[in-house]
Amino acid sequence: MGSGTGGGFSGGASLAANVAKLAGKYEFNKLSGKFGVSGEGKSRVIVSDNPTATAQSFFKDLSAGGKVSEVSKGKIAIFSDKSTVFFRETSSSGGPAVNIKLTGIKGQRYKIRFEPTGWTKGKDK
Amino acid sequence: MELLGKQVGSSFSHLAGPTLWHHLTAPKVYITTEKAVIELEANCEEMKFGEEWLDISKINVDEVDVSVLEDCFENGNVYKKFSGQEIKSVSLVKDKITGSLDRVPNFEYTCHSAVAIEFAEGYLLISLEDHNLPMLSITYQENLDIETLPQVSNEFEEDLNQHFNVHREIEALKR
Repeated sequence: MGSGTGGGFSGGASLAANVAKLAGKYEFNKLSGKFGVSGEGKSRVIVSDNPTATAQSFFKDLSAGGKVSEVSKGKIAIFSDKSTVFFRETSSSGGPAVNIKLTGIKGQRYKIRFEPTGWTKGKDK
Repeated sequence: MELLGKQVGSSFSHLAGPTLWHHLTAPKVYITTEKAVIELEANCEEMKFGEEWLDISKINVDEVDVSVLEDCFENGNVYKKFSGQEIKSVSLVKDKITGSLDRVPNFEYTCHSAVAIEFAEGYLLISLEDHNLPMLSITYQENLDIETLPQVSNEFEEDLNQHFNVHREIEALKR
């Protein structure tokens, strides 16, 4: 028991590898190794014309090779090393948000909020 | 949680989950006994802490229809360790997280972070993998020693001024 077919983990897939692949597609700070720009508090921000569509696309790209589950108010992708991407269409800020948790030696965790074009730091809802 | 206490004395059948793969981490699992199918699901709620919104996870328990197991069997996400054994007891692991800024208390949160099901040969532990993400983790324990239970990771960041403390205790559920 415990094995089977139906869409498990893709061989060699990892969240860290997905992050590296997507660093050119979404705003990425090489110094901090994090997506987005500094937002209010400890969260990061990715700005686009359509925050919901961008967040959905971002989650889809980052979750490739992980095991995706529907959860209350969102989706979570869990990788074999327990690295995780957690997506919600609405968060406390009103817009979508994605939490990234990378395990291992270079582990890090942070939240990214998706804001519409025109967003500036200090003008949060 | 009372639903789990009612399973004491009954025969355990299996553990399963729609996305419970070999690494035994998933947001939702099912405990099947001769009496019922019990769903344990980790959910996240947002909670204001200072200027930050924190995601706080908790375990929800509900009885569900046996039909939820069809996909689990089809996909092979069924685990039979302790199958056929009597559930001797069910306990909850309670975590109390307190924070202090410059020694002044500024945060307090209490939750049940794990469910421990006792069998003659050991324990099945279903615990939050993380206090801030909707994930459950399954482990098998020889005993219920509070010092050796898996720790729940979290995003509560400490610095020179802000400190956090986790106090853990175990409480047995009444039958």
